[in-house]
Amino acid sequence: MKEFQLIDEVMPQAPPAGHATVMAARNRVLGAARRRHRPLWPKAMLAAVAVSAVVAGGFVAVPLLGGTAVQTAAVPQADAVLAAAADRLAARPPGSGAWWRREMVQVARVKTATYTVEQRVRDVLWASRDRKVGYRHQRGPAFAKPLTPADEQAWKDAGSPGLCDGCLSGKTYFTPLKMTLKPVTELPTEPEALKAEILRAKDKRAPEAWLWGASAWLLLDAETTPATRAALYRVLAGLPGVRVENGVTDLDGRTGVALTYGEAPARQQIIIDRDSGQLLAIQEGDGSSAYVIKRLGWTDDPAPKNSTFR
Amino acid sequence: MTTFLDREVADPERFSALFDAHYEEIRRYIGRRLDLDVAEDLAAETFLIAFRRRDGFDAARGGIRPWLYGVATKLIGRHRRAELRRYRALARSGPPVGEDGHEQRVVDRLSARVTVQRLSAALAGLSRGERDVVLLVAYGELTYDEVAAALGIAYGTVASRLSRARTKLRDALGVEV
Repeated sequence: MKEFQLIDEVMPQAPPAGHATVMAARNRVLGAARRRHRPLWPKAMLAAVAVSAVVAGGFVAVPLLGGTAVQTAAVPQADAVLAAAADRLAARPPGSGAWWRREMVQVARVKTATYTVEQRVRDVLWASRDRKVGYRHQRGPAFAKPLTPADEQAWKDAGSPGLCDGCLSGKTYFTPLKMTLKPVTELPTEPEALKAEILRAKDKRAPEAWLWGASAWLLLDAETTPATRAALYRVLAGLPGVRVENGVTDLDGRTGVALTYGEAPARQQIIIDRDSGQLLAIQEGDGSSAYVIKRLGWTDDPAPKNSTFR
Repeated sequence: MTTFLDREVADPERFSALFDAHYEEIRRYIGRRLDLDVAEDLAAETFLIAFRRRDGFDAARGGIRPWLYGVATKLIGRHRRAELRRYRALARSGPPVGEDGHEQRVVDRLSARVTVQRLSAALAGLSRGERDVVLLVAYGELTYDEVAAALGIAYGTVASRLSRARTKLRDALGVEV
């Protein structure tokens, strides 16, 4: 028994953070860190592009650049690809079954001085159609290995130190955000109405960051209907700070059309299958971490009796 | 700790990895001592401060975690009265209903008759310094060395505070903690 375990066991836990909360904090911290450190663009260039740096009430949003020339050229096509995928997704039936299941692998690639370690943990979320039954969660254990043979060699050269010291312990997943009083399955399917519903909830200081974070959560950890998910894509694609990019590959090598928000180091991508419109992954633009979706939707498979965390 | 952590702290690109690895843990730690809305603010503030002071980070004096826990604990110190209010409220009415399967854990412990109410009252009875070291060990699972590094105090001070706290808690609860 560890010291003071009694206190740890008896005192209330803080509920896990929602995606939106984490994204907002991340943007705040990394946005500030980045601006403080790196004059990325010449001042004249900053004046020439649309930069939205919102500083109010101590909240700092990440300044967002419009697309570069190269990306601008690709945008019309990417927009069309996304719109078609969203149409196909919206036309799908909501699905039947007692449980909604989202199976994903959370991946992190941690760089040391000489090698990169990839950490993976399987994470399955079950949401019951009966709201009184609630959620089940299966997570872990985490696995870690050097990313490539060259990384493995460098790791051995470094004396084969531990690969998984507290890895992927950050559980940044679902929590009911009290965002809406409605069940998520009844969220609007029309983009403007959906946007208004999400904005009704909170954080008027940085509506873009909030919309992005809340949408990522609604796509990743909530049993939203295909039509609502398609509407989420459209809401995000219409935000000034979001770019649509075609031919983006997730960490497991699947290519799709992506919604991209923010600039490094706080750049995130929502990658979508071009045929079905289904979510493929939500990942960091620099490839340092990702939630890679394996299965998502309603199922007749039985959920586990209890949540498990290993 | 390794030199890699030095680099991680110094490089703003890598700082995002540090944030991802530790944000939730730090948020949870603060969230167990203060109300959640304050905790979320202070968790972000912890990383902002950590980034600003990254040049002062010395890997030789302890790892990243103690360093972050130290910053967080100092921020919590500015809200000492709010923390005490929270313990007194918990002592009166217990934990919020339906939070995190919490009732179950309390039931498991009922044989020892250590409830959230009694434990909250006991924690409120500790001095600030005692509470800091106890909760860094209990919630953060820091070693004595790490606690010393986190708070910038001597190892012997950590040990004596823990000893005093243990006596107070035992007297208040009637069991060894």
